[in-house]
Amino acid sequence: MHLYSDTSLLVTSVFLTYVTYAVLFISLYVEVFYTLSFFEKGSLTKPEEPPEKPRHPKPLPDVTILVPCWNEETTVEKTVHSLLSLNYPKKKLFLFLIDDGSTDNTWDIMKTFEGHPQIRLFQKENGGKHTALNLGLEHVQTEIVGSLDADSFVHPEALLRMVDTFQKDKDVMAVTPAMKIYRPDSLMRLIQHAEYLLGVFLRKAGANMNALYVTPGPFSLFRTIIFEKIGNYKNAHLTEDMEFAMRMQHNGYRIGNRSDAYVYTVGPKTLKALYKQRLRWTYGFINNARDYRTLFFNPKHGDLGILIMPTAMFFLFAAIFFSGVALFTWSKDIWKGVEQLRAVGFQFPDFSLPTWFFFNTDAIIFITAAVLALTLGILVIGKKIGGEEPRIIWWDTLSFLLLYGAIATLWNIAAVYKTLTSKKVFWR
Amino acid sequence: MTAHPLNWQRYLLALIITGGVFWLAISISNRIHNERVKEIQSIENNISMNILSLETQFDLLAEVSCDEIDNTILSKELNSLAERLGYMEQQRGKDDTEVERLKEYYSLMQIKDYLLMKKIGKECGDEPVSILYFYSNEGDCPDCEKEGYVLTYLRENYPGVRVYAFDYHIGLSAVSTFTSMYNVTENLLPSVVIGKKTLYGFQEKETLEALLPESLKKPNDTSETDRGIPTKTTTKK
Repeated sequence: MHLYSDTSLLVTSVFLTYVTYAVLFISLYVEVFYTLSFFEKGSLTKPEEPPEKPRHPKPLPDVTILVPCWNEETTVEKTVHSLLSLNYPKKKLFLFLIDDGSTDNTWDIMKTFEGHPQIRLFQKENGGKHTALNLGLEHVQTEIVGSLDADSFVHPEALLRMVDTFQKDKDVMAVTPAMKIYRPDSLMRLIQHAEYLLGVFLRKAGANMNALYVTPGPFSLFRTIIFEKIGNYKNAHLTEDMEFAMRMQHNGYRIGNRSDAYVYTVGPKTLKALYKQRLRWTYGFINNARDYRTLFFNPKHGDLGILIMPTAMFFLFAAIFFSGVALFTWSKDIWKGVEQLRAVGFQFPDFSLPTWFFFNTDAIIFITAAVLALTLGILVIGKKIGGEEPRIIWWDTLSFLLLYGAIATLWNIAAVYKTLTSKKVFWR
Repeated sequence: MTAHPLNWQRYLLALIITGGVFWLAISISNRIHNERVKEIQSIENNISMNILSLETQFDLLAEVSCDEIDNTILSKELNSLAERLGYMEQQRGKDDTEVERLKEYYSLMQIKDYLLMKKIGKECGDEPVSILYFYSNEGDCPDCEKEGYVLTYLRENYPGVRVYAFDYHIGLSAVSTFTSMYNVTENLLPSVVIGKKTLYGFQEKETLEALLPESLKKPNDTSETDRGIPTKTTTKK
């Protein structure tokens, strides 16, 4: 029963309501836009054609995979073995293992591959991932070059499928894979598992409209000539894979995607580790986007310039806004609870089911439900094209929908703060 | 190098779909709001009918016994209405004209009920315990929320007490008459009238409980003791 209805905060509420409607409109619009782009080329109805037995086989190009390593003693061996197990002619596949001044046993493990006909080893002083990649690039003599982080593993068919995409579209200068989380065995990894499958969908849709702005470290492939045209990797605020993709877009080169080329990456297990990784990514996005601000609102760059880059930046701040609203509302509710406790002491809460009258049926609730439903739909499609088995309950999806928004706020705020105060971020 | 052609049809289609979802959501929400208004109107009609019925019974008092006058239904309905109106006001804001109108009507019915209960009390010798509560929810009364909790508590724990809550700023002449009768002004909110006493400012639960007739206190104390909740006001007979 309410003998007093709190409307004192309505002035703020009215403002917040309008902003919330605007943010929800843009969110839903972008989701719908991505979905339309995904289906425009029949991505679901016409699955990727298997390249294993093409009608008119073209000769496969030589490929070099760079594996930059810095203190990766626990995973590097498995990474190399997964590359050696790729279904690709041995004479056409070369691996460059580059130790970027590791302080653990990484170099010793790498040396066990010494003398392998497909493998070349490099060791250098620590200078950052981009310097390791650039060292490898100096020695590449193949038509296609890619990289694989030493904490990732590839599906045996991934390379053949991605090369197939290069062969089908001569304009494509880079091909991104479908990234998945390797063994999601903790809550944080479960959340990332769903997030990466959402990414499988978004990357496919993004490639359809040529609006990808990241060529992920785990197994993106390039035509080697692109490095001659636009230069090697840069430090780029510790997100060289993002900067390089933006540079490609800036110069008008096409980035494709192969949604059945699976690459498994070891996701951070704890919130702290995830926070550090995402802080670096978000900080990198803000700062690289600032460096390539000419991409924004520029019709020359198509959907990327008009919609994708501006809304990617917008969502970063929208997430912070929504978290602020949630925090404001919860604090208000907690304060009310304390006031009530002080006024009348503890009262047993009424557990009886409220009648329909008291269900919140504000339009915002229905619109939020529509946004969530579409997100869920996208996730389901992401799972389908990501080759996931259907299940009754997807714990990863549930954890993602419930928690991701809240934890993402942590690194979003930190990244904005560090940008504003010109503070640096670190790899680990 | 690749050209980046813009597909304006996709932009337009996305706009139409998004707009459609918004239109649908707002339509459903408005429709449910209208249903709520109808429910409140129906409760108000019921109350109105009950007041008329009580008045008629009262006029016939000479012919019928006091025992036949049943005002408990009316009390429950007024509580139910207060609950629903409070919720709607929170949802739609105090500037919603429909809600405002319903609230004015509710205030008038409270006054009618209050007067009628007084008359019946005098006639039947059963003086009702009424509390008048004047509040403001325009942000100028920081203690009104707290007082609301106390009075809600009293209303829930003392079924014999009738609490009439009035928004000071409702702009209804009948309420203004009430406020001037009890010398309630804007800077004295929250104000509570209990019996013949008018109390200004926040009143603690214990203060108001102490002013209730002894006969009303027993059921509440028993129920709280049964639940094992420690209470400062253990007024037992």
